[in-house]
Amino acid sequence: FQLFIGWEGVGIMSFLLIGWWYGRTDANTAALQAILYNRIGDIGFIMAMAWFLFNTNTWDLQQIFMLDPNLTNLPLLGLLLAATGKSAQFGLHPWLPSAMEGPTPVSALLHSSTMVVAGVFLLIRFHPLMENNKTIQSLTLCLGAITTLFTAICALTQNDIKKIIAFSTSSQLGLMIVTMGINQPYLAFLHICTHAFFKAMLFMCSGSIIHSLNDEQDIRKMGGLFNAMPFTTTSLIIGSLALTGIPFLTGFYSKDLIIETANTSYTNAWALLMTLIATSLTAVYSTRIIFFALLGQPRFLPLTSINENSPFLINSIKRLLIGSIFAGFFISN
Amino acid sequence: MLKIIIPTIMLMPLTWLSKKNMIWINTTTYSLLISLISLSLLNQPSNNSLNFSLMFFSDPLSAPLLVLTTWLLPLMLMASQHHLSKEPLIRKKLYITMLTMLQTLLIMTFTATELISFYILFEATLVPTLIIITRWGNQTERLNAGLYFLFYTLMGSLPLLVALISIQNLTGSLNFLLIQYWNQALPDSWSNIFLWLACMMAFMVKMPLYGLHLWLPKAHVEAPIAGSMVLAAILLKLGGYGMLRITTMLNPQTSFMAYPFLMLSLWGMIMTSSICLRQTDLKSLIAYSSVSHMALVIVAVLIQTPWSYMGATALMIAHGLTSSMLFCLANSNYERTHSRTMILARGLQTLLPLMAAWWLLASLTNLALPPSINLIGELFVVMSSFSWSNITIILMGTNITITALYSLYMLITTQRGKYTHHINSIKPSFTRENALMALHMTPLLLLSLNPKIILGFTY
Repeated sequence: FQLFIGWEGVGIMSFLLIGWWYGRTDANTAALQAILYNRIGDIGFIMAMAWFLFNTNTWDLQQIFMLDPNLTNLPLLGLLLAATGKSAQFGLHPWLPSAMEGPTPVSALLHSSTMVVAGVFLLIRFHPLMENNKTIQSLTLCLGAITTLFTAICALTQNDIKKIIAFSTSSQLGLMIVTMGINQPYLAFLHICTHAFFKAMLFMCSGSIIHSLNDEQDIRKMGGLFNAMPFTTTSLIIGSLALTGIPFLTGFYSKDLIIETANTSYTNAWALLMTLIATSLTAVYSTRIIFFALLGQPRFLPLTSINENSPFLINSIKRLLIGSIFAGFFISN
Repeated sequence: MLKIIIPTIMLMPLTWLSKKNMIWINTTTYSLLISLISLSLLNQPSNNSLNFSLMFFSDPLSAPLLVLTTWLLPLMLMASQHHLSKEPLIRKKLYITMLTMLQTLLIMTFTATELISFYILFEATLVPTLIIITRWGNQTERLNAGLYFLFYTLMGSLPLLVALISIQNLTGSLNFLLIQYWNQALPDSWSNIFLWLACMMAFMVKMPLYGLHLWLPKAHVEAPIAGSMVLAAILLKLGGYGMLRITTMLNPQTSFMAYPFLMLSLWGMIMTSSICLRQTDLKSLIAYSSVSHMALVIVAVLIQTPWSYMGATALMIAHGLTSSMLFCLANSNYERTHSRTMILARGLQTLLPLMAAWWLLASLTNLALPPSINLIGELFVVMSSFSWSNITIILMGTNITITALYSLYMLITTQRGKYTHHINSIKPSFTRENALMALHMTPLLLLSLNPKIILGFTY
């Protein structure tokens, strides 16, 4: 029950924060859209709660796991629906790119690291039940694989920095769901933690870029920032490298382990193939961001006040940078 | 019980004898004090009811409704101050007298022991409400609204009279306390089926059930603010209360008789929620939202499980507070723009941020956000309907989604977006209005901390 309180509360906060600039109609519709998809997921949550109440007489996780009910198809399906809604998996995904109407710190916090992983977290919490149910595992696997591939392809064609990063988040979430599908809750959790670092940093960097270019979000209008904003550039490059899973940065410890486990486990070949393609696409769209935003000749208006002077921004990015590089190592040892 | 009824009756001489600048102050203060007395009834020491006399009693089902009724009277008075400010003194006093009369009758209804006295008072509450709607409503449609209201409810409740009299003949008494001990199953025959129908239809119309709900949008929209508040908060709950009381006598017909009503409620829930998404009229939206929530209560009562009864009572109280608050908010818009169209008063968050905060809280409780009691009520009802039949969860789930959508749609349309250019001459929020919203919200939030009180007698 308490989980449900937090679940709904987070949904409402998302609504309020996406609609932060409430004078803007797009923001309001995006906020409403977020709530719609979240609520559809909540139906699944409520269905799972109802099933648990009547078949195990409790909402308490410990008791449910001790009782170990058979035939857990229905509640786990409900939980999967809830995760789909909250974590923007394939059927209920449009709200995440629209959620980029909110301010960048909101995107950094909610929609990359903490809130969207609530869905995956829910599945992790219920993994003792999922271990016994092969159908649900296959379902999560396929769902995650479709999500990863689909959103990675979408990210290739986007022109707005924040939307690219949003689709990238969606893709990584799909990866986490795939990890749940191959019955590795601990790996999924590890990926949640590491992903948080570099994704949040990517968002903050993009925020810094957007702000210094005077609210310009289209990457076709950026370029040549390599020399103009050195610190942001470095963090962006390191973040992208971590995202793709370059050895010994953070992403490696979780992402590579996931790929290895998927390869060596007895699992659905199609899902595996889609995941691998999606992972390679990660590298592609990250390079795209770097190429358009940082390299080449400047394509923005000449009279901009590019600066990296705000200590708040720089300090936050600095801390996330250190985390992106070292956190993987520290967490897994 | 007389401790509450006599002071309420005495509010009437109070209004007539007060000085011109003291009427509102006197009545509001004393009605607040009366509501404090009624709080003491919430202390129910045992599972049986608290009996005060041969005619009045209170048990864990009626006590929260009673407290709600007495709590709402000062709020109604506060809300009506503005639109009555230009009326002559006699009419103001008449209005307050009507409200007080309605209040007395409602208190007596909720605490009646005998079903016939319940029926008489149930009908009697129609009269002051009718007068309030038709005399002090704001548009010409109010006459039509009053007509619909009166005749729908009367049509539904006349069979109830016949049914009650026949039960009295059959069993010798209609006292609640005795019925608990007498309870035997009704034999299965055609006349008993009609008896079931006769008993339930009155409450179905009052609730209202989806097919019989036409009176509700008209009455709610045309009524002045206090009328809307009391209609939404209390009078609808009379139907629920009556159903909860009378279903104890009506087994076993309920198991098969309830099906058409359950279907109507489940479907009607979704239909009315969907209508809310397309409304342009703010009060109409809130009225249809009331129908939707009450359909949940009907489902809960007809399923007849302990959890569903708890959900029904919690939902009734929660919905009473929430709907009343939404009507007050709509009224604050109406007083400023003199129109109920939603889009005429948009972008209010820029101009009236505190009121926007109240709008937000009201919308959040309307969509049943945890841990508010709205959620507890809805959750219990959803759980019990899941146990009744697994498939109902789809309908309930759809309803929850659509409820969230229209609540937030209402919020966004009135608060967000760019404000209109003609809105820069509205008056800022009065302290009275802010106090009104706070007084609605505070019980709601406090009850989230201890919902035991409102969970009724199956807790």
